[in-house]
Amino acid sequence: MSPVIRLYKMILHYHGRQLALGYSATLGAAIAGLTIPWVLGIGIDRVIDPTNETQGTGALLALAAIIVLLGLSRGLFSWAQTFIGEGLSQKIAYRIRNDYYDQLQHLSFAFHDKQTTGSLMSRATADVEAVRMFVNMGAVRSMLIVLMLFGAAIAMLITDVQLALITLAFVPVLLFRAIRTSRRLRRLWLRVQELTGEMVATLQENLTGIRVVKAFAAEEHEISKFRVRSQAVAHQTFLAQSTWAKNFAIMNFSFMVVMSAILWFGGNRVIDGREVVNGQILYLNMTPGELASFFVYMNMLIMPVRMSGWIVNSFSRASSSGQRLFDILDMKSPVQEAPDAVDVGRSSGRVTFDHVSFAYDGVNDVLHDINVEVPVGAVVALVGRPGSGKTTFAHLVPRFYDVTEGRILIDGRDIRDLTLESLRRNVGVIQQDVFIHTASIRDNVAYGYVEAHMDDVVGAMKIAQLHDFIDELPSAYETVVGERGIGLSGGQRQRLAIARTILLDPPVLVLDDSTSSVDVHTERLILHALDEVIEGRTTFLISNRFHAIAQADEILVFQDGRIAQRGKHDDLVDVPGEYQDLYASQMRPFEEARVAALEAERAQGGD
Amino acid sequence: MATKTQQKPEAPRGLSGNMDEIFLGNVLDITVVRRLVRYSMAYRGTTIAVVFGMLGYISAVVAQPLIIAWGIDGFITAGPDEDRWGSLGIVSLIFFGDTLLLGVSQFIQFRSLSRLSTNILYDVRDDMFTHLQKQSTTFFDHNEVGRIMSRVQNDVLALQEWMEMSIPTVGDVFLLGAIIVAMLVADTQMAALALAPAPLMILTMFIWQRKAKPTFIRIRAAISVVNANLQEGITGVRVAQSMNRQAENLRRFDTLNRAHRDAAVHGGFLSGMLMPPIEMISMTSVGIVVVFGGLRVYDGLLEVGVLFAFVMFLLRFFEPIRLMTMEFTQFQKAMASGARIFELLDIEPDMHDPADAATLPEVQGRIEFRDVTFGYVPGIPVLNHINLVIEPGESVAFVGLTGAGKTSLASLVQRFYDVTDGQVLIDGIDVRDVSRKSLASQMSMVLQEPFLYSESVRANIRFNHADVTDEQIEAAATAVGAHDFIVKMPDGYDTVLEQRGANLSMGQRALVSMARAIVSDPRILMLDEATANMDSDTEHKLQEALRVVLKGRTSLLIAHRLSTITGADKIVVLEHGNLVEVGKHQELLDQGGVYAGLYAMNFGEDPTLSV
Ligand SMILES: Nc1ncnc2c1ncn2[C@@H]1O[C@H](COP(=O)(O)OP(=O)(O)OP(=O)(O)O)[C@@H](O)[C@H]1O
Ligand SMILES: Nc1ncnc2c1ncn2[C@@H]1O[C@H](COP(=O)(O)OP(=O)(O)OP(=O)(O)O)[C@@H](O)[C@H]1O
Ligand SMILES: [Mg+2]
Repeated sequence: MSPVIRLYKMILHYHGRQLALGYSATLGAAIAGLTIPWVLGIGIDRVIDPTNETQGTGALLALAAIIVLLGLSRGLFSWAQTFIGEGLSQKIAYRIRNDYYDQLQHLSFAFHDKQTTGSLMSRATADVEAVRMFVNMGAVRSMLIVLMLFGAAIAMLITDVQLALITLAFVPVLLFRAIRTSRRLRRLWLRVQELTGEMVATLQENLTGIRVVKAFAAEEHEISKFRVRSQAVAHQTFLAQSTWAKNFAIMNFSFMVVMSAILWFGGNRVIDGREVVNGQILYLNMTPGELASFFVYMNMLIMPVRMSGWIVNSFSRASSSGQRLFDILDMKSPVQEAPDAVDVGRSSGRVTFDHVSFAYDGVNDVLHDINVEVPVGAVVALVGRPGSGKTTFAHLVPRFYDVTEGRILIDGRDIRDLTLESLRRNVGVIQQDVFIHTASIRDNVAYGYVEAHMDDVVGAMKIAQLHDFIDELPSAYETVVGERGIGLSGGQRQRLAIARTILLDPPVLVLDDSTSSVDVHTERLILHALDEVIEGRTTFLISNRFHAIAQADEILVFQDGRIAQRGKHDDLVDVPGEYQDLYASQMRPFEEARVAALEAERAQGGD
Repeated sequence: MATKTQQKPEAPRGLSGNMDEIFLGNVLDITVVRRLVRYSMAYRGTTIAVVFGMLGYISAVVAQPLIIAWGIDGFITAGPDEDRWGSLGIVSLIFFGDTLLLGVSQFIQFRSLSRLSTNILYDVRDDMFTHLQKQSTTFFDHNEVGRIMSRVQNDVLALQEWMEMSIPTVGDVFLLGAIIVAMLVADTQMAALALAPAPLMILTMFIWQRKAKPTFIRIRAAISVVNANLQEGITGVRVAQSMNRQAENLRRFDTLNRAHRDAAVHGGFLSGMLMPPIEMISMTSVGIVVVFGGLRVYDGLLEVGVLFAFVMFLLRFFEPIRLMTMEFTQFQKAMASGARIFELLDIEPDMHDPADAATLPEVQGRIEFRDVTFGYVPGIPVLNHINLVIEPGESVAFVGLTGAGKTSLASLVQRFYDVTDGQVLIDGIDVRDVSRKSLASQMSMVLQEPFLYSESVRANIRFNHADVTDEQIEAAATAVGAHDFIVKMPDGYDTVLEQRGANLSMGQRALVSMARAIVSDPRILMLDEATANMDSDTEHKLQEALRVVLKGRTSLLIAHRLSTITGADKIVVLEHGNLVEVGKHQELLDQGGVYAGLYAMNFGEDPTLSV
């Protein structure tokens, strides 16, 4: 369905009555507006009609009063129309924005992996605005144009059929041009929007990665990159605008040509019917006043015609922008909740991977045939080289992505049979890539549990070993962090992320390398504190530090998306394999030192 | 070599917060307009075309009623019956000519205008971007990406709209003048009477303007909050989903969105409010002309065509005034945007190359910190009196608890920031005496958080080193151990990464950023926790490889895992911004100080931990 039609449907569905009111106001404004030339025509005929002398000043005053009243009522109707049109457009924009926001919140990770923030934002701003303009200009005010055109046509036909037909010949030409240009413009604007999105994305990357630019003195490189994008935008914008300008000028011109035709044909008609009777001039075909009212009608149509140029523009922008918005709004998240999904309540935390395979692109498996059975309350450590699939494994449990093959069970139930909300309530993932909100520290910690008691917030922060630091800040928990607040060091950010997940007390907890930027001393304190609250909780611990891994109930060693080895530390460390290699390289200095110490001892003993 | 000691740290500079609070400026901000005019000087030809188009348009419009009046009075209501071609025909033809002028001049006006505005806005945007690149790290510490983005994007867009809408409005102002003159010439007395209600109109607009302004400010403030919230919703979507915050987020967004909607609806009410008085006033003018002019026509003092022309003029006259009122807020919005743009362009970079900046010659790689004191905020030093010499080719490791100042120390070498006191010397040359480009291009730094661009892997590794060959890129990737996974990606080195490298694992991102750092064969390499997300074996192999690649190069290394650094030539231990220990691994262990304590923590059994 064309986006414009959909927008109309949306307006009718939600605000049908208001649209009708808007159209009524428009109708009122059009009628009042169209009556003015008619009254003016009468006035002109009066003043040049010598037989009318008796009525004199009084009649003129009456005419003037009518004109003023008509003006006032046109003003009132326009007010109503503006108010309703603007209101309608804002309500639609509001609705779309809400829907868009909600949709983005629900589209899965796979969608967000492929989008840039810049392009999503430009949809929410530029495209929503284009749609809003359309609702106001295109949907509501375009009716005024239609009414004015029709009204003027009828009024002219009543005044003088012959001249009216000549005058109205331009309408089809105008319509034809409008439609043709609209198609072309639509394509051009779509391209402008795409290019703008690319430019914004480049800008955004440049700014977020500015330290990289500085570190490499790559300013000139970035400038030339940006220049290419912004040049493309400028060029394409000019192309669209000049196409529009051409169309606009041609429409205006053809309109004005009609005025010259009126002058010639109308003038001739008046002269043809002009007769002098008893020294007085009589007009049999058409009076000069009627001719004048034709001009005034045309004059009144200038605005609508000028606006129709804008409206053609807004139609094309709305259909390209609407398309871009509806594309997102219609998108089905690959992670769907089953219609008969159940709420698990609080699960015990038994997690099973049953022949699970996964591919981000649906083709190239990143995880192959993973089978894991985690008993309630166990601590499972995941180790492996970069890209071996640990994070991917962790992201499958809360259904950030859906498995390609096999199934994942919680308490023996396929996670796809659970509501997403209840599943994610049961699985707390501390993500590797930490995102901190611009908000107070308290709000950041209570992010997932807004009503949390302050004591619980403090408790979670104590576990994450961040309480002491926060407590010393001048405004303590009310300190604003994030982009607009104070900067946190890498380790502090990680600990904040730990705290906000701990607060939710999930039965299944995933720590994805969550202490990699924390020094070893602090890390130990965190693990120790976690240990105390971990009772009965299933924990997945992704880490590269063996003092943490070694304590796990089971260790899964990932290698190229497969579980190469599994078991307890003591079992694994003695068999040659991936685990031993990883372990050895971390313990090497320690081993070397021990050997050195032993040798020294032996040397001493030999003395 | 000049020694620069005391250099007062300046207060952090940036975009003033209150500038963002200014949503509507004056209708005409002379400084803003003047600077825009300066931009237009580069396009004199186009500007002249705009002016000519505008003049042509105005004359064509003003001539129209006059030509019609001529036709009515000269030939239609009076005059000869014969030779219509010679009389009415000529008038009609002249009218047609006028029409042609109108069409052509309008086309020229709009087209040149759009050329002018796209060119100027391109230049403005380009200047902003270029200017931003010159800003120091401090600037970016103090200004969020969202705010800068909004200046380069939204404010420039507001200017664009303004240029498209308002320059025709300038034409309308001239049109008004021309109409007044035409009426005065045609009939002074009647013109004066007809224009009598005009001051009333201006007064009405003035009062309305004052009443409506707060609402329009509220609308703009509301929409900027809505967008900021949306942006955070997008960047934080992964956390929201993982913590089931969608409903709460929507509720909050809805509150803001609703507030904006309500304000905007009220704005629509206010915009329309102006219409009844304006219509009434303008029709009063017409009424005056009908009565007064009508009486004069009775008395034979005025020709009916002129009366008609007056009516036409008046209908034309009030239209632009009405439009201008509608665009009032557009004007104010644009001026506020313009002021914000130029504020940004006027910020002096707080760190720039000295006028006589030399180019740093190819360096050996000797780094010296001479009594360096440094703080981000004046009065709160993060580093105290650091004295340290790193010889060419040495590998030096920095250790210490979080926040000890390791990253800060390393960033001084690159001159991300200027020291508060003391000197940083490379091969004996103060880093402040040479151009930053020549300095930074000889060293590479791998940052704590790997940042990749949404470009191909190849482009990411090459980055700004245009002269680096594909072979060198692959060699660098191979050296860091990234080659294997890169070739497994769908298009190998040409695979385009998602935003920030989202389709790579964290460790892989770090590896690619490391390849980017070594591909240009820098004399000095700094790694800031570059391997935190990697397993020790990968890290170990990586270091072995780097040792070969970076033979004879100076390297600085920051790490929490001590297994990473035991092989370093020199280990520097920092504590609360003080340099407490320097030495080789074994020496420091034997000292039994801070380092020995950290070491015990790394490898010793922890009696308190039991699962
Ligand atoms: N951009 C900044 N603005 C203000 N203060 C900062 C900034 N960056 C760091 N700091 C502060 O300076 C001190 C030293 O920080 P630095 O990043 O050098 O520590 P670090 O030893 O590298 O820690 P980490 O191990 O977390 O990297 C910290 O107290 C930190 O809060
Ligand atoms: N969003 C994504 N889209 C496509 N491919 C991805 C995505 N995320 C990861 N991959 C790929 O999947 C593989 C596994 O990545 P994963 O993040 O699970 O690794 P990891 O074991 O967590 O590594 P690290 O220790 O570096 O964090 C890698 O080859 C990576 O390139
Ligand atoms: Mg990972």
